[in-house]
Amino acid sequence: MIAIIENYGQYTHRIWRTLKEIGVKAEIIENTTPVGEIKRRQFAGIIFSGGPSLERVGNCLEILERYEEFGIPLLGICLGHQLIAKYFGGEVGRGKKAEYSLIEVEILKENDLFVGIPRILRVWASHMDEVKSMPKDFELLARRGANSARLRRLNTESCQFTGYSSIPRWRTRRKVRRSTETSFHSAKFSCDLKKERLEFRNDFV
Amino acid sequence: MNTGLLRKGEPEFVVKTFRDLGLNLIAVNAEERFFKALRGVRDPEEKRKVIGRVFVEVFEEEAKKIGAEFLIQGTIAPDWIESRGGIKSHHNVGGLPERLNLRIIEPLRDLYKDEVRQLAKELGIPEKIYARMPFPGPGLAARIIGEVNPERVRIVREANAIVEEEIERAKLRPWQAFAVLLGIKTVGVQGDIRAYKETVAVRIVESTDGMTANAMNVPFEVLQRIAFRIVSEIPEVCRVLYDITNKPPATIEFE
Repeated sequence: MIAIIENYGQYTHRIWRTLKEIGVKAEIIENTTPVGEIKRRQFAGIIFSGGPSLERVGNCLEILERYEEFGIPLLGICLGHQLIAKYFGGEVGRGKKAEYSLIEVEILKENDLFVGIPRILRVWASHMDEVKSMPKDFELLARRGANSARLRRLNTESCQFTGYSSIPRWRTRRKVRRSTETSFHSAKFSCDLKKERLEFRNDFV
Repeated sequence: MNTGLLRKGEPEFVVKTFRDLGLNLIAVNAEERFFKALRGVRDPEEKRKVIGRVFVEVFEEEAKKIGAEFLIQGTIAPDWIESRGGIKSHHNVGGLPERLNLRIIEPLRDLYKDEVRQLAKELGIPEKIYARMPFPGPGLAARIIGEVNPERVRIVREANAIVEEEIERAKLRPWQAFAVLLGIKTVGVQGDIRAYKETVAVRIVESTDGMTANAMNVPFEVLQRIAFRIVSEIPEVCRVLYDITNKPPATIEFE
């Protein structure tokens, strides 16, 4: 069972739906839930959802403070990604311009989380803030532009795009489904999208 | 309930569909009530709340007459997600008054539209019902910027019908296709005469579940035909625009 920590994002429930579709059990947990209670549930992994503000992440910070004690994979999506970056010493702030709409993400380095996923992904982005500098010891796995930051360290992964918010075609293929699931469990992830011009292809997902 | 804000031919379609299924349907005409409550209301959120309130008032009255205790709603995930997030008050969630004399049942609450369609198909519900385009709870009021009155509803209703007809004729299958009355007048020249008339926006999007959507790459000839028909058949309009914005950042409906 995966815990999805609700940071009041528009796509939190869709993370839940996407996991349901690939056969991964998950539960949406309010971010005001006491951390001890979350710990007692013995989840296999935790996802920090997106949301409107770093001021409204509730007990996510406490989970980060105790993440070694949890000892389970942690995935941050959108605001969750920024939260992880900030906690580990990265810099988060308002981007030069906001990014809304369909964008492309390029996977730079193979990782368990990307098994069966095309190297170039079309994803929805919806954010004004971004990770401006990566924390030490984090590694760039995917990016949107040459100047991107992205995150990966130990069991902590994160990504800026409103991950799982679109349902790409490739997920409907059975073979890929399995590998997506596998990669989710290992939850090695992270990527970011930045600054580059939007490159639209005509074949919208 | 005919709110006066439904699409062309819709009240008749709904009544016939339900009666053909053998269901004991009570049809209520509440047009005047809605228009009266909406008089002077311009703010999109206030509009939604007014409509939500009148909806419930009428339902409560009807429920009392037949001794009904429950209100079964087709609320789906985006309704409560967007209402809770303060994006917009969907009439069946944020638009509902706090005190309600009916118990609410929402069996589809955790599903998205595409899942509802799968379910409907599985249950043997006719395609003409489950394949219908999503339509907002506040009806055509969400497609009129500014005040809602019978005259403006008539304009936007005709324009909507034209968009839907032409999309069907072109055999396109968008998620939604509709027209919006922008409430701004622009200058035109019609038959050597100056025109100063309404502007209509056309919105046609593709989507999986309504939470994200992209503006559809509709063939230009189809768009041209839509524009031609709207300005020819609706005398109050002299300009038609096509909305090319995705969701996010725009929502599908304008209000």
